[in-house]
Amino acid sequence: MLARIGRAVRSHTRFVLLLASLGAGVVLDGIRPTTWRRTVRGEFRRALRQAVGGGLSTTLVTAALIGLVMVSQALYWLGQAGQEGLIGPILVTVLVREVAPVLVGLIVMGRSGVVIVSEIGGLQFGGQVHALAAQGLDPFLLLVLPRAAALAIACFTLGIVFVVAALMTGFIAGSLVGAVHTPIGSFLERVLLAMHAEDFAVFPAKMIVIGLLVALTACLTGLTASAQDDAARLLPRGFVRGVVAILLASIALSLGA
Amino acid sequence: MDPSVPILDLAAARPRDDADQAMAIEVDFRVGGGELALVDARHSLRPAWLADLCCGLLPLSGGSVRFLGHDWSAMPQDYAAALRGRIGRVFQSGNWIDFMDVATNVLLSQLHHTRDDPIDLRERAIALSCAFGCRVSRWSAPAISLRAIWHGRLAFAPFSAIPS
Repeated sequence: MLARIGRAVRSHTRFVLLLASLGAGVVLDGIRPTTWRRTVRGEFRRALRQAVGGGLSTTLVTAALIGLVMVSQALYWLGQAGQEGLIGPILVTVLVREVAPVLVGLIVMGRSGVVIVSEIGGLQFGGQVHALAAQGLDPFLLLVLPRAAALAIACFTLGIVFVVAALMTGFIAGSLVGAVHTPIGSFLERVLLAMHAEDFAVFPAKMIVIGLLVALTACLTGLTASAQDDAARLLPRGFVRGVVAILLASIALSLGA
Repeated sequence: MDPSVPILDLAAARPRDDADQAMAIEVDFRVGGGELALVDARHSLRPAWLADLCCGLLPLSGGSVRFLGHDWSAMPQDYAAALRGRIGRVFQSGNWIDFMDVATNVLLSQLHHTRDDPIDLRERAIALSCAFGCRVSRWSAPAISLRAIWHGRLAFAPFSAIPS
């Protein structure tokens, strides 16, 4: 019993420590120009294309649904209550700071994180990770770092797209039901004016940290796969770890702001 | 390079392998330029183990492994990685990375460790592949499409970096 508890604690602690060391490695190696050799740049381009291209349509559809459900409803009911002045602060607090980072993180996890778990887990099973090391190619530089950088940038990009698309869809839907009586410029200005200085820091920080964590949990899940793990066990494990990391990062950065 | 220096020199090399006592042996041999060493490895894990030892991937508890006159354990990590990139090693499994194209798979270590023009690298690889009787025509195809045909055969590219 004691051994079983200890094994689980050690396993989870090990994963968190590995995640922290990988994160530090990505930051430290990422700023060294010599890291970005053409093979690393090639992997970065491929991962970025896959993450942004693969997640764009899903992000737009999700943002449109959120715009219809949340933004237009907020516009309608605040208008009914005569509280139009609260539209900006409510949308910034709920949509920009909380909903967008978590939903975009989940989209990136589903569209790219799972692919990374599958790719790197396959390389680990197939012996390619060892073969890379034997050819003098550091698997961390070639596989982990470009994916982490690509997903951080992709997450930030998709986050901006998500917020803009949700606001626009909500405004259009609100106009159609007669809940909005202001021009689009005035509506967007209200939202912008409701943003405080820390909002301009928290939103990008959340998007970048969530993108990094999605990539790192996925890479680490793939790299630490054992011989007993198959795709049916590896993919759900990677997904759950990614979701937990997204939620924890979002909560931690919200509380810290 | 001094021709008297052997390409590979294992002097009483004993890997530090606590997990597998069957592998806890001393290896002692040297291979010079133009020589061929044929190793009869009867244990199924021995070929990969010996290759890892020769490439300096196994930490040693005694002895030394020298490649081109350099001791793997005394080399800076970046230098050792670049030197490993010049070894034309064929793996029993794990030669191909399916999500990369054929050209990247064949030239991966050269693209990573050198700044040579990719077109020159490709031409050298094509010339070598023709010399070995393997004509590669679909360089930009995904590696997975040619995996079954070329599995384990395209290990000549690293040799293209070694001056004749």
